[in-house]
Amino acid sequence: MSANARDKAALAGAAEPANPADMSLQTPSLLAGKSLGMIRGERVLFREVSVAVSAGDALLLRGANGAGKTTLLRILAGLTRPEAGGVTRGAPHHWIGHREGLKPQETPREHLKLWHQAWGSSADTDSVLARMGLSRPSDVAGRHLSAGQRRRTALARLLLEDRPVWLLDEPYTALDADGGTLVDTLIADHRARGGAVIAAIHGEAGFAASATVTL
Amino acid sequence: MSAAPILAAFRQSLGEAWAGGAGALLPLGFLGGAAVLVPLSIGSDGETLQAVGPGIIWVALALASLVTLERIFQSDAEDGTLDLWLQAGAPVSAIAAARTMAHWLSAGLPLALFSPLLALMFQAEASAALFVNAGLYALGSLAFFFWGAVGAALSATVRRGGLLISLIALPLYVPTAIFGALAMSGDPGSAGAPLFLAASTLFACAVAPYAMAAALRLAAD
Repeated sequence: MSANARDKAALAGAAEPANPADMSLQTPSLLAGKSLGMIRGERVLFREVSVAVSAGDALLLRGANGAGKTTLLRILAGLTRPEAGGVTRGAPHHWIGHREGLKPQETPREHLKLWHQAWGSSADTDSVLARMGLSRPSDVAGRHLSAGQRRRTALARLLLEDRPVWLLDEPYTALDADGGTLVDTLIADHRARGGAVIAAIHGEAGFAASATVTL
Repeated sequence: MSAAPILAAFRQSLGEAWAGGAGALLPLGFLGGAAVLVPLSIGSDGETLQAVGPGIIWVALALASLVTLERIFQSDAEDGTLDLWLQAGAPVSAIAAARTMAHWLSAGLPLALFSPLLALMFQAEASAALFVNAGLYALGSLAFFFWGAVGAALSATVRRGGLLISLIALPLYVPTAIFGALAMSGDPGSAGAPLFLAASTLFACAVAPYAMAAALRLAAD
């Protein structure tokens, strides 16, 4: 009951912004989560967390291991149902989870062809592979790829289709220095085009965040 | 909504079913093994073999469905593919049905198509009825695969979920097994049995995808 009452209060507050200079009035948010709360087992993972991104934003999720960064990202993606609060999606999103989504027998080329077909994408898979530095291992099965190469394959999905929101769970994991720079470039290009990024990152982020949420 | 994600899911499952060199060979190997063991264990009397032959093919189809389906959704949940399919913009039930159909095409249908040959190994008389039976096996095995996939979806996040799949799916196999066996018995009262078999398969195809979708959403939650 009390959680519901809080939600209603939060929503009422959103309808009449206290701050007239609120940027969200000019640029409609691409993705917003309001008063999100989550319980895992017997423990309250987080409560009253609100996030919103508009064009050009990069939101960083910070927190210790087990603080609920991944869970919050899954809630924003619609994979997990929050215990309290709600998510409003104004635009399609890309999901890069900590599991790559690459089958053991699947090669990077096959992986991109598959999602190219599924999404009806118009991007050229060969140039996407080249951009991600995957030209050489493009025909190597997933189980023989290195962790970094699998990561690059997952990140390559971002280039298959232009979607305004990117949800990234630890995008730098397993990547070498080149790979990290590549991720930074992709994010910068995406933001320049009017996209938004929400990323859970543990170490140093190679880009300037517009906001940080600490769980 | 476009059908592209559903076709892509179907294609990925076909590739997966044939990866590792299994595919249709696995269930055929199953039945080949059974066909060798049955005469050794119940005697090589022609009449006995004729009597048990159709039933053994039904059992092989049921086992083939359980064996091939064990990993379909479990591997998706482990490698993150499930998360991607849940966000692919197509109904999850349609994607789950496409994956199930792909596995049926690579394991259930070949077994049904080879059944006339296998029936001959069980001393059946060569006649057109063997091809009618092949159609009945194909129809019935479709129900086996759809119910088995519900069990697979429910146990997607359970390690060594094979036993769980059997416990969930085997009771649902009962109508198919009853009507399938009745349709091949040649009893005077069995004329309507193929229709009941078809009805039980249609029911499975209509209901199972929604059960799978709900189970898969729960697995990702």
